[in-house]
Amino acid sequence: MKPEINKSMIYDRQLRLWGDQGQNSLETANICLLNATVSGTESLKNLILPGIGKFTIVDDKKVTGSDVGSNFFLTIDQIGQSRAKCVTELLKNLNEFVEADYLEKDPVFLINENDKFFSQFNVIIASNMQEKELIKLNKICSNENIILVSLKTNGLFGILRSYVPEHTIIDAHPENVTDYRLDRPFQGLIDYCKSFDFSEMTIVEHSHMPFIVILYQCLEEFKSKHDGKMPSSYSERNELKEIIKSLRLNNDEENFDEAEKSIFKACKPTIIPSQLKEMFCDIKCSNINENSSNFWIIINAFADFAERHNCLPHSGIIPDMKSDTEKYVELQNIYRKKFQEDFYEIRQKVNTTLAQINRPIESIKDEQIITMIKNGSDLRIIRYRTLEDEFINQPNVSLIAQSLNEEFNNMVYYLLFRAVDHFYETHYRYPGVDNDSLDNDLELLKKSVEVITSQYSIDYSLIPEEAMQEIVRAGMSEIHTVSSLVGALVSQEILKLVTCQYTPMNNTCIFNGIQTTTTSYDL
Amino acid sequence: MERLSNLKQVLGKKLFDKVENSRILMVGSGGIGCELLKNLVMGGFKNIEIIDLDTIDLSNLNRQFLFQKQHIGKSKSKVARQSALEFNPNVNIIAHHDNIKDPQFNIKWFKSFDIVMNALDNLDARRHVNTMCLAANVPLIESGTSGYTGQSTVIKKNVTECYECQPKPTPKTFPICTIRSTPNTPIHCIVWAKNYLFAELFGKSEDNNEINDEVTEENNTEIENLKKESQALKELFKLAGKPEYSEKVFEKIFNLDILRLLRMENLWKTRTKPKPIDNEQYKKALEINMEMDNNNNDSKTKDNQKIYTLEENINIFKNCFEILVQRQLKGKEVDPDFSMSFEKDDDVIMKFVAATANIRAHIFHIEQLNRFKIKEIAGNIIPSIATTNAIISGVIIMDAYKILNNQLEDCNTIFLTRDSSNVFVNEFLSKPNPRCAVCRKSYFVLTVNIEKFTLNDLLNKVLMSPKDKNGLALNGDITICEDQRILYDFDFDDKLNDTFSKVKIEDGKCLNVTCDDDDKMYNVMIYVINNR
Ligand SMILES: [Zn+2]
Repeated sequence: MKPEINKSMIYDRQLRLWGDQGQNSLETANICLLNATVSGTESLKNLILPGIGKFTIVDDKKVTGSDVGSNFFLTIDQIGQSRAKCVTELLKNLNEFVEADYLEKDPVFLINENDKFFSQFNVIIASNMQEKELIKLNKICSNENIILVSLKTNGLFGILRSYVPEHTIIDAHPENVTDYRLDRPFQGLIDYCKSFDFSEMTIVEHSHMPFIVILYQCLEEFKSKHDGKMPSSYSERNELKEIIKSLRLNNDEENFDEAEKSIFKACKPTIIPSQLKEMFCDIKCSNINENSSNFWIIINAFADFAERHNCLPHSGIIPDMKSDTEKYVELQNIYRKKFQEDFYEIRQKVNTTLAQINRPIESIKDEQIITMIKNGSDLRIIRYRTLEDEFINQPNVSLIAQSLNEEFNNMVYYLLFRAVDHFYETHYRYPGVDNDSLDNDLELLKKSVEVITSQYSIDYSLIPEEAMQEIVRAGMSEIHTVSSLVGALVSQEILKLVTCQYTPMNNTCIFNGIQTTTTSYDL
Repeated sequence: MERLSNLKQVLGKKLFDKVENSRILMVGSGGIGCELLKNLVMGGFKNIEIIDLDTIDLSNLNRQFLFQKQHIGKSKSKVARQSALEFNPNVNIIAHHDNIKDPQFNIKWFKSFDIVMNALDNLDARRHVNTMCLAANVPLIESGTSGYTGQSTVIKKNVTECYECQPKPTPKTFPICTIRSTPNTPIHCIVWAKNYLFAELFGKSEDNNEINDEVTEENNTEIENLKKESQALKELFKLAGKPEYSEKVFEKIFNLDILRLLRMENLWKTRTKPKPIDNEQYKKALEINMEMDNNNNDSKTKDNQKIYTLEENINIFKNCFEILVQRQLKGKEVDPDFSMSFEKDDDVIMKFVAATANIRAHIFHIEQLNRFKIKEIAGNIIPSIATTNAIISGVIIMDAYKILNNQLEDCNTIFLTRDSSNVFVNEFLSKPNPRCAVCRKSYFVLTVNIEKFTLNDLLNKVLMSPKDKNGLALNGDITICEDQRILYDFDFDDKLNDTFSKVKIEDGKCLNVTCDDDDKMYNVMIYVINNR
């Protein structure tokens, strides 16, 4: 059998989550893992299985006994061999469609001496890297538009941090979409709703007309009594409810139940969400040029549309409702027609823009525009803070201080991860790696904690002694379950970032294995 | 030993030793199971039993990393064991390729474990394991995933809520008349194609659990007619193998049956009439030249996303129908009772169901869906990826460490959410629901020689015997049942002198005893262990 034959069968269960567009993005992802730690290996495993394009492991270490003890993919007979090579060969077997490569080099050396190396990738997973190198790596990623996720685990604790220069969410998979446009009905909808005459109906017809018709007609009645205005307060919505109730023939009419339940949604004015307004004002939206991404070209067309219609294009989607089939299909077609008209306008504008910047029309597919129209009010861009801002230029002191005052907070461990990095920079080793110097290391770690807390002008005593003991006791070792869990959290984020679907974390997450909790912070 | 020294340091020697000496049962070795087995062998656990009835399918490979292409069709539990041992030979893993509901997996066996971990995908098995763990008083870690979300919780008799303390939504069923006579949504057509048409033609029509054929006053004449209709379809089978078979079946289901419905005029007073497809249309459709590709090639996503024309669907119908008939005839040569069951990952079956559902949708003026979507609905497919399973499996191990460390009450119910600002949502474990019909029951293990022990012995030596003689001291109207079968009640004492083995109460069976003493109902589950 040829390889392409089975792909959609193998990937069936995930295609239902992110569709062909998501799968295509995934299959073009070229991912680099720095250091084949357990958490790094596990996160790669979870990305190889669903079929990324290619991965490369950069690691200059040799397999040790403790690697074998915590990394599922390594065996005793590999001790002493190249860790990059061994892990790559074993991971490669998980999916024949994924290209694999490795490089026996120290990632720190590459970051300092050969930053061009990284431009071939679009995702970098940096495992157990120090702050100093991460800041440099972050700069490379920022220039080359690369997704960077760093992670560390230490005993029962883990931390991950995402950075993307500019992340666009094209499909947030909102749980329910409601855009009836009843506050500003378009002609097709008006004609359809007016074609129903309540007084001429049989009982069966009355209980089978779509609730949107009921709402439309009741709103008309309401507006005629309120200078053409929509209900905007609780009491006014109640008044509308009474109008609906008065038209019921009996209590069993489910379509009237649906109408009553939809009052709030139907009365919400059709607006352009603030995050889209912000995007419309963004320089990347107004200044479309040869380097503009498809996303911004489409957003530019949305802005143009919004200027003319003061709303977003309609998605064409309406929910299921109690209705006879024919009437429902008719109503569906009315909204679909509206969507098609709106789509046509957007497509025209996109085509004009593409012509202006000398790009072929096919470079933006209909599907991409349709996806963005369907997700109109949920489109987002996230610009992540850089690690340099987090650590040096503009630390988020208020959030840190505030979080530390909460009971059972995980901010303590964020500061401890930073303190461990400081310890390493000072002593060229991790605290607790040598069983004979645990007490001494605890004292040294306290000094590092003091340095870190003083950077934020935070009271040192907010870091409990037991937490520091825990860190020293773990000795920066990886235990499999924690590393596997944190690695999986990393791959989960990378899936969201690469497919531009669902809402990714922004920007730091701490895992606490004593309480089995996670906390996300925008640091 | 040196390999796990990190783990020993982090867990502490006491807990580490407990982990090494514990016995773990993992039920299910699919999505969560593969991740969990890896975590168990890497997490210091040395004695693990796994059980799974399933075999490996192509669509498992995107996440169940212990399986590879060459394992397709093999036992999940056996291959999982073998793959895990390849990397970590120092662990004892026993794999059962069996149904967890088999009587050999009795209460005594459940009692031999320190923790049971569910890695299941269905309600029925989850319920069973829940009951067994309550009866055996073994802590159970229950879990599940769907797409990016998942959850895990801990169940312990008298300490926490059990799996059934909160009512579970029952699977949706459709009234038979909607499916057979008056469909109005795409789902109705899919259920018709899968649960009626495919089942009648190729499968066992009894297993139609998605269609509710309860007879009521209103529908009894129609149900009679529908029975005749199915019978007539079955009779066409005598033509199987002859060239006219497909045409006759098509005519029956898409022309004659529709014409019959049209004659029932009251059905169409408020509905749009269906439009039957006559023979001429059928033959004309077959004249178009449609390229058929049955080497599984057609499962490319593009074709799955397409909405076919009526003519194309008719061609697909004929093509797939004939292949399925060939399979059926071959099967019946070997075994006259041969039947097929609906299999969502079988391309020909899926195409047949999708094409016939869409032809029916066309007839009833209902929106048609593409094959990708129809497969999702017909197969009840839950999206599934490795990351979510890995995260939940990690949580399960963290809970197992707590349980072994005597901190069961510190475990939480954990929800993995889609909301990245709140990855885990933790809730304290709830107390048992005092009204729960499952965990508020008493459980009793009865070890006897089933060749000698009689129902009368059960009644007098156990149920009604006083507490100081280790009896249950029940006082009132006693009823003894096994599953749905009544063995004894006040009006039915014919079997009292029969031994357990004579009334087929064998090792591993479970008896449900109720005792009604005017103002209270007692409910006791009795698990039988045969002691020869
Ligand atoms: Zn319960």
